[in-house]
Amino acid sequence: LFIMYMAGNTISIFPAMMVCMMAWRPLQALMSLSATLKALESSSRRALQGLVFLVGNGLGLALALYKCQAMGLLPTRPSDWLAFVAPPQRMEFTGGGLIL
Amino acid sequence: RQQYVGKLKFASLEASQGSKKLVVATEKNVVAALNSRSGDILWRHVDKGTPEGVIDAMLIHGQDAITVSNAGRILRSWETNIGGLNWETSLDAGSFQAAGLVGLQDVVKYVAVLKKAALSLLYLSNGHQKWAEHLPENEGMQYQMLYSHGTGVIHVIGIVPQSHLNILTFNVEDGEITKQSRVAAPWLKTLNGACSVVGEAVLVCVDTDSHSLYVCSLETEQEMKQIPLQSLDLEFADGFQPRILATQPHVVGASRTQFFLQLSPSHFSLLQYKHGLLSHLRDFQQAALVSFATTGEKTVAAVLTCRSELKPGSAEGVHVGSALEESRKQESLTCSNQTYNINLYLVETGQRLLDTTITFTLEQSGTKPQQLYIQVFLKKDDSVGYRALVQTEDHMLMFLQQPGKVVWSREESLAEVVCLEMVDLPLTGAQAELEGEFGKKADGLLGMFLKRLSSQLILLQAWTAHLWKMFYDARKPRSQIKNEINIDNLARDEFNLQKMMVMVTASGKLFGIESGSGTILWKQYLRDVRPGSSFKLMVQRTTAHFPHPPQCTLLIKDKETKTSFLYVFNPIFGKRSQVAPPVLKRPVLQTLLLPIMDQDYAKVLLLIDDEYKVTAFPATKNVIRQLREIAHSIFFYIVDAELGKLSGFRLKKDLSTEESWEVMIPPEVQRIVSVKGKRSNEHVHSQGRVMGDRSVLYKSLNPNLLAVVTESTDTHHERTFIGIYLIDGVTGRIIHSSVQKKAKGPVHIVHSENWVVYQYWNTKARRNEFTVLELYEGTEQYNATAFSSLDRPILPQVLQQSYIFPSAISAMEATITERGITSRHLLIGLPSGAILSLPKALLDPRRPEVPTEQSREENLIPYSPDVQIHAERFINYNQTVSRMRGIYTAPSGLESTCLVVAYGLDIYQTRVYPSKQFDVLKDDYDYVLISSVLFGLVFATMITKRLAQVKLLNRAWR
Repeated sequence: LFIMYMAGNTISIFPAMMVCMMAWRPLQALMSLSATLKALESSSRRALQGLVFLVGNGLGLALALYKCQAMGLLPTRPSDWLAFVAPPQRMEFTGGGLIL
Repeated sequence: RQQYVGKLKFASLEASQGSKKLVVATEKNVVAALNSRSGDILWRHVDKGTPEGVIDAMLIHGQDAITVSNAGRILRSWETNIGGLNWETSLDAGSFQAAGLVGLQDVVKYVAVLKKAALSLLYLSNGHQKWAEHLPENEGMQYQMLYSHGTGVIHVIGIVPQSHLNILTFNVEDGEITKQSRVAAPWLKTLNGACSVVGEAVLVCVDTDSHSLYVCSLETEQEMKQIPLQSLDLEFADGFQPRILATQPHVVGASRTQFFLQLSPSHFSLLQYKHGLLSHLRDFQQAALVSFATTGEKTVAAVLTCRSELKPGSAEGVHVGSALEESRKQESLTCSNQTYNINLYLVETGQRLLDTTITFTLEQSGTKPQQLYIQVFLKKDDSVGYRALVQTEDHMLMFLQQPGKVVWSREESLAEVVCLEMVDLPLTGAQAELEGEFGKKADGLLGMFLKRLSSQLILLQAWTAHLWKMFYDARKPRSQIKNEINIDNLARDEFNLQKMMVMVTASGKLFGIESGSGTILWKQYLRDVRPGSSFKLMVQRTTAHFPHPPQCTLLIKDKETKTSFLYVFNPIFGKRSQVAPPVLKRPVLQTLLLPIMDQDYAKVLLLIDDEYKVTAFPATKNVIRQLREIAHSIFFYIVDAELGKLSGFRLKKDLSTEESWEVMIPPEVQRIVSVKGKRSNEHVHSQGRVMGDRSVLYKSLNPNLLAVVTESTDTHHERTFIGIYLIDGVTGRIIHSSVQKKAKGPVHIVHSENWVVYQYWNTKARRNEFTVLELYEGTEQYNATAFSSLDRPILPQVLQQSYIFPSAISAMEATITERGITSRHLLIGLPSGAILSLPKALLDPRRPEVPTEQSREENLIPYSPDVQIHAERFINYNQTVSRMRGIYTAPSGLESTCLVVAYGLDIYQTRVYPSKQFDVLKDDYDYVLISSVLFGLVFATMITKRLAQVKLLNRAWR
């Protein structure tokens, strides 16, 4: 996390990789949720532990998303969709000019 | 690039067989030498396009060509072999009348220049003045003629109209007036044309009223002798000012005693005045042009006549007989079958020289020859051979050789292109077949399938034919393979980079030029176009609608009679279209090309006349119905520069209009010089600009916006100003107006997207400046789906910045591409002939003076007031375009590429890539390496797969 803070908001290869890792890790962990739960089968408070695991990973994911947002990688602004804005249809036609 | 010289004013051909030069001076103020074998330009000097550069006279002596320009102020001597300037002198002011070479004892040493009040004599070799004498002034005296024939004196003939002639005789050595005589001539109005000098300084004048010639010797006689023409059976045509054409074979020798008398526009007769006797040598009826030429001792007269269908059996005297017939049939000079003869006649006797007929046919209907120059030489067997240079009405130069072979021809009307459009070339047969398949109605699954199969087969066939041709060509040496482009194999290339340029020239000739090679594929001369007409060219149907031919419409309006007519033609083949254009009874004020189409995919053209009634073309029922539906959204604006009035009109359902707005710009203070709308085919991809903080600054893209430029009528450098008005063409609302004080035109303006760039001369700082205006709506868009000028509550924000430009400019245009993704460049034609491609990003009013974090994020360049000209931004390298008048841009099939045509005296076509070629693989792209790596990898995968299988199998056995 500290490294993330130190990395700053500029976009270059290393911070980008780190953010990717940061987002990917919790995702991976969530994918292997069932396996983790299996490992926890012996435990008595299985449900609670599972929940904590879930919440923890979710937090990690949220943190990664926040980092993405801070770095400006998420398309949330209108400027990010500008290229897809269709030109407005013209309602009137005009023509003419100097008298020939 | 193609270079032109313009319409000929003077021409000179050298009178020897081996000569290869042809020195011309043209109405475009150009002095040039043409290669008489090929028609190429050997050298060319372009003077100013203003009246200051007008060439008044050209004299040729040996290797020197003397030109008088700027109303007799500047005298230049050119070396005709290489085009170098020998010397240049400036003369005193005074309106120029005549110039002549003066010789003394067989040597031509001086040039005499006659001004209104002075005669000056200059050395031919270095241009120094020998003497200058004032002419005795008299009320109403006009000195108009100059004559010398190597006797040591110069005769100057002046005239007081309808009173008398004054003949002054100057001594060449010291400029003293040796003799002054006064000859009464109460019938004479002007000397030019009506009088000429023949023989040993004998002045011959013609008078219509008394049907007689007046003869007077300049040296001895004091009175004009009257010779009635009735004795020679010659009649003048009514209302025609007869002219006398004489020739002086050599400057130091006497003139020929023979001369032509033009009796009517098509009737010449060859007369002789010798020893006080006038005799009639030969009569030429139905002759279009006559000309004299001399070689050695022989002087011949060339007569250009019209040739009509020959009657079989009348071999002898065909020429005269047919000409007589012709004259009875038609009065005008135009020939029915466009075939002309040139014949040579010996001047002494008027006999026709045998085997000297050139017969040639003009390919254009309705053109007629205007000027004739003859180059005569003696052949080895002492007979006379000649070549002829003919200029026709449509400014075409033809160089003819015996017998009737056209050595070369030049289309000089292309030196004055008025308007220009680029049209896509048609698809090839196979492509068209494919297109046609989709265009047809569906008829069952099986039928469609069969059709598809057949068209694919055709494609395959075409492809194999192409391959076979390539294989065949590959065996031939490279030099032989020349992609000849003609009208039959015209086809669009893959990226639509080659187009057909349709050019309209001031002489009324239309050209179709293939843009890739510059070959003229068709030309069409419109006969009834008078000089000074205004043209407007519109593309009604492009080549995209295959079974229908493309269609262009040219509106021609005569400046004087105010009548206008439409000419509809096919821009690819140049043929007149079958579609009958509407007859325009009233003068048309303006036109509007609507994007709606009729059932034949032709765009609808609306013409508004001076009663503000609208005519639609094509005017089918379908179109009228469509027009009724959308009539409420069609508006016209008409700008009257003389009254300073801008007015807007709304179309009503019955195709009449009503005025909806009017803006007056007082013409006493400022006059409207130009009005620029936006181009209708312009696409803007991006609707806004991303700011540093990631918000969007939306552009104000008003398609109806007009930029109106005015200049002050007061030209004093302290008080002069220019005004810029941005006016909405629908509502007449003035969106922005600014006045630039202490600024002077000519203003060049480009209006595109949401910006306007204009250039002017700053009189206070004495420099050229650019000002850029950009319009933004702000961070919110008012209505993102539709743009209506009637519903715009908020005025756009206008940003403005000015820049210093180190050079004047002669033309300016912005690049345009298919979709508008590519960044825009400004193409600026400089007076030096170079075309500068300036990125629009350099002229951005948002360039900050102090760069901040955000502006750096936006890639804005910090403001610096001067825009520099970098030589590497010249798109035409050393192919300069002389006297550029305009630049035309057209999109190509590739988004990165924009086609550029610069026209002026020369025509230059190129492509520009404003954002580099982002959609094309580079030339040095390594196809071999990439494909070999790919194949290698695929191969390696296959091998490793096999190996892995083997290994697995082995492990399983273990």
